[in-house]
Amino acid sequence: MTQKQKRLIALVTGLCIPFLLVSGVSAMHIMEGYLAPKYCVAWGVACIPFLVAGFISIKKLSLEHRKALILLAMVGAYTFVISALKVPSVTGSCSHATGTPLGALLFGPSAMSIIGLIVLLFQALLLAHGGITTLGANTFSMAIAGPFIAFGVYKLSLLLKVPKHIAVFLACFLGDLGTYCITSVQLAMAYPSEVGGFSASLAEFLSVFAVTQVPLAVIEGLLSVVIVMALEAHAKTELTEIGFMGGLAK
Amino acid sequence: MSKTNKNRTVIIVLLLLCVAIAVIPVITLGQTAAFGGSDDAAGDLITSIDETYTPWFSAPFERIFADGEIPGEIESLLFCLQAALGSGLFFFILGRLTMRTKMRKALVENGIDIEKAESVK
Repeated sequence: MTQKQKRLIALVTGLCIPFLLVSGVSAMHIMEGYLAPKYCVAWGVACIPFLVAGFISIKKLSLEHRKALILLAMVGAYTFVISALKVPSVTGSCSHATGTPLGALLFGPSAMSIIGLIVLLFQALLLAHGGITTLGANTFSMAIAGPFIAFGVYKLSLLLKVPKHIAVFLACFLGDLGTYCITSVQLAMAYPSEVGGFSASLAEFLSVFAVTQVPLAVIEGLLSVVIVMALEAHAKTELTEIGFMGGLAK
Repeated sequence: MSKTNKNRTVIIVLLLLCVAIAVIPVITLGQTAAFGGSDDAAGDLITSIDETYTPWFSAPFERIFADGEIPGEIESLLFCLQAALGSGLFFFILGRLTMRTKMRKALVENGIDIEKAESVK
């Protein structure tokens, strides 16, 4: 990242922070119309710095590692499929995996913010799944928080000398689960319970989202390992190019 | 060769595990649970916390339809389309990559040095 790009991100972040303070920000995707306007705006604004960083990161990838773009397309397609598949879970309701953690491990978390935004936009416009007004909040949980958690867990696991495939599993499992915990936090902030306030609401939303998500997060982790194994066998050149083969080096 | 075989076994076991995780709840809870979306469950929860809450915005696409919801069949068409397009692209690329591995191997077996050939290009 050049000095200029770093400054741009810092500038955008600086511009966004006062916005968040003023607006007083004290799911499966959150449904259309289920988040009050001030939260919609606040979460949307919170996404902007990450999206700028993501744009720069993808641009850099397309300039410096053209060969690896094919993997980015693959990871995007994977997110597209996996977030369309609603899978039954132990709580008797359905949810879907996110697909974004895997891409975060390969390309870094900020690149996935753009990919996730595209998928969410498609779902909001054509499927009425998620929503335009809740796009910011959903982008923050699925395309930013999830990837960053996954990336952090992955790097930490490798530092602790956890075998690579197990690190991939842990990262994608926790990245997926983290997305839905963030969704629960977002909803609990918007709907604090009359008795018990934020924490009581949070417990209720977590019981809907997080518990349902546990088995799906396991699936997300397992599938990510399968894909990484397939790529290691057939796309070694590209993985080396983006520095994924060498483990921690990058 | 044995490493490839081992990987293959691991991949098959992992995929079967995924299927099992999805199928077991259906078998055990099929009699009682509705298997609705967890986002709808959250919607209900919101209404239980704030009884007067009504969604303040609805998707433009949904407004085309009389009852304000995309008809089930059309919705499933769109979801299928999303999954089909995604997996189409994904496996198209994977197919190219696996074929490339095969071709490279064939080249090496015929005594052609790929590294050298690629660096010339």
